[in-house]
This record gives sequence, C-alpha cells and structure tokens, in this order.
Amino acid sequence: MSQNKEQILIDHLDRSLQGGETVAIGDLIGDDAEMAATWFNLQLSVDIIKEAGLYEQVLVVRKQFEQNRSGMERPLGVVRPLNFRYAMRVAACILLIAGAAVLYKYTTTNPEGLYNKYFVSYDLNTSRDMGQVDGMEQAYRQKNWQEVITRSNQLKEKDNKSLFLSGMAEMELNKFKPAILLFQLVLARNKQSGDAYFQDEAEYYIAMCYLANNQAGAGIAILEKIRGDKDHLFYKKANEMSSLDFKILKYKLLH
Amino acid sequence: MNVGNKFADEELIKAIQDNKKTDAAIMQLYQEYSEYISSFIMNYGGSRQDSEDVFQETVLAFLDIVKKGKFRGESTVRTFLSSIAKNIWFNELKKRERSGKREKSFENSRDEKEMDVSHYISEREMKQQLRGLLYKLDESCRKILLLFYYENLSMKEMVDQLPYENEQVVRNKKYKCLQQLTVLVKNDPLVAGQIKLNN
Repeated sequence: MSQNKEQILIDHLDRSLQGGETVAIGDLIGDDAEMAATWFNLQLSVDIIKEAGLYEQVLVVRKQFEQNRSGMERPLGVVRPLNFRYAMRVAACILLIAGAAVLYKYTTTNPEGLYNKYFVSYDLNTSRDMGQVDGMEQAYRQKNWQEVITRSNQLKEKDNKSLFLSGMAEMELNKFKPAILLFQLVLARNKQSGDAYFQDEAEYYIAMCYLANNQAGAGIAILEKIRGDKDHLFYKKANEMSSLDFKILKYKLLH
Repeated sequence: MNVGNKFADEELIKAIQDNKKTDAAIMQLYQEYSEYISSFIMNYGGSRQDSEDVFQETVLAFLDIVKKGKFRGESTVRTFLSSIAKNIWFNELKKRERSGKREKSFENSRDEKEMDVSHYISEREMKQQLRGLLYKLDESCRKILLLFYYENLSMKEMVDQLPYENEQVVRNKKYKCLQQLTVLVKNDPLVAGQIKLNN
C-alpha cells in the first residue's frame, strides 16, 4: 500500500477529510481488498489505543481507591503501625518515668534521709515501765532535752536508764556523736554485766544515730539484726522500714 | 438523582459516557461494588489478587459496553457487573484448567435472571490481549496516540503537552506512531487468526 493511500485512510479515520473525499474513500475501501485490510487494522489499532487508555484510567482510579481504603482501614484493623507506635511511645514514657523514679529514688536515698523518714521519738510512757518518776524523767516527758542532759550529768551514779535518756536527749538535739557514745556505754555495760537493761532501746537508737551521722554501714548492720529478731523490742519498727531503702543504701556503700 | 456525590444507576451510565465524569464514575464502581464482587470471586476459589484483577477487568468491560451504548438498562448496574465478573472468572478458570466439578458448580451458581454477557466478554478478551501491543511502542508514541485517540485532544492542545515545536511536527509524529502500531496489529497472530475466521 502506498504511503499516500495510507495517509488518506488515516485522515479518513481522523475525520479530517471533506465531505466528498469521505464518500470517495468509503467506495475505495469497499472495492480494494488491500485498502479494506489496512482500514480494518487501523480501526483495530484505534480500538486498542482506546482500550489501553481506559485501562490506564481505571488503573489510576483503582490505585487511588486502594490508597483511600488503606487510609481508612488504618485506625480499625491495622491499627498495628499506629498503635504499635503509640504503644512504643507509652512504653517509652513509662520507662522514662520509671527510670526517672528509680533515679530519683536512688539519688534521694541516703542514711540521713532514712533517719528523717523513720525516726520516732522514744516514748517513755509506753515503751517500758519506768518505775518511780524522777526529775529526769519529768524533764524527758516535757521534752526538755537540755534539762535531761543536765540532770544526767549531775548524777553521781548513772544507770542504763539515765544514760539512755541522756542519749535520747542528745539525739533530739541532733547531737548524734554524744548520743552514740552514751548508747555505746549502755551496750557495753550490758555486755559486761550480761544484763539487757535498755539493750533493745540502745541498739535501735544507736542504729538511727549511725544513719543520721552518716555511718550507714554500722546503722544498717544493727537494723538488719533487729529486723531478723522477732523478740526484739523494735522488731516491728525496724521492719516498717523499706527493704528497697536498705538495698539502695547497701548498694551505695559497696560502690 | 445524585445524593451526596453518589450517582444513581442512570446517572452513573451518563457519567461514564461523559469523559469529564468518568473518573468519578469509576471511583463509585469501586466503592460500591468491589467488595461485593471480590467476595464472590473468593468464594469461588479466587485469591484476593484474583478478585481484584477480575473486578478491574469487570469495570473495564462495563465501561466499554456503556461507552459504546450497549448497556440497555434491563438490569441494575450491580446485576450486570456480577454477570460480567462471573463470566470473566469462569473463563479464567477454564484457562487455568480447573476441574470440571468446579466449573459445574460455578455454572449451577448462575442466577437465571442474570444477563448473558458472554459475547461481550469474548470480544473483550481479544482486546485485552491486544492491549499489550500499544506497550510495545515507545513512551512518546504511546502518549501521542492516547492523547489524540483516547483523550480526543486537538493538535493544538497536544503541542502544549508535548515537547514538540508545532502542530505539524506532532501530526507527523502521530502518523508514524499509528503506522507502527498498525504494523504490530497486522503481524499479530491473534488478529491474523481472527481475520481468517471472519473470511
């Protein structure tokens, strides 16, 4: 087929011919088998182009539809990416808070803090039958700590009770070193005599004094002994203290 | 009536025939019927991918039929789409040489009220296969032919979208591209076989 004839057929296909030319071409296609075949192929080619165009158009909309659908599904079933991310954020926050809490706990736990947290004044009335009330006891009940110390110093014969109360008075005045010496004296005397007069009291409060005086190792050792002794007068009190506090203090002592 | 941007059946048909609204119409077909048709295909042994591909071909066939004015509205769009989809899947199963039992069960599943669309489908299958010929041309040729014959742009409009100097250059290029495609069509065994059958 000549280029010219094919060009004419294409022009006919594109409807760019004038009225008379169109009729003439129509006749030619009817009479010429070769032209008819070329005309068929041209029409089929255009059908293929339209089919491909439609195919691409549907494909574009299909992709858009699938994108929209996946966007809508995300909050429902496949919450996984978002939820997972959210869960990770929550977990990270929890870890951060927990970490901060642990760090806070670690840094704020110290012997002095433990002392402040758990120190309770010795109650002369309920803890032990003190017998006859003397001036020292009177001063103690009145929380006149200096008077307790003065009266104790005036005593020619100091027993464990006066030593202990004097130690407690020093303790209440935050004078831990003299308090420790007085409690140690009580313990030493009991050890020598084999008695246990004010033993438990002296043990517990000397431990507290050690904590307050930044001698954690000595204080914890005594408190742990008390925590393991059910018969100890301060067993319950010692066990009210947090094990975590103890562990942290011990860890700090070792590192 | 178009309620909330949703076409009723009659409007959908008109939208498909109006090039400016075809995208919206295709989107509605996907939104309204893709899940329904996909479920059906999967019930008959198709995978998710099969069902999506079958639905895509169903939409293509439906658009082609409607654009050619062959949809007479004797059934609802849903029923018509179902018939097309079943035929496409049935033919696909045949191609895959599935067991006669499955085909029989498929045949039994056909609703008596369904449209017979098998003649459309066989015609469509040939087009579907020939569609690949366009993709044997280079990108510039494909674009020119699609702009002119599918999007119905004028030569002047095409110059604006293509890297060519003027309308004459575009016209010459389009002529050469169509020639190339016609040669491919002429030499395609499927077309040759079809011509022999017609003769």
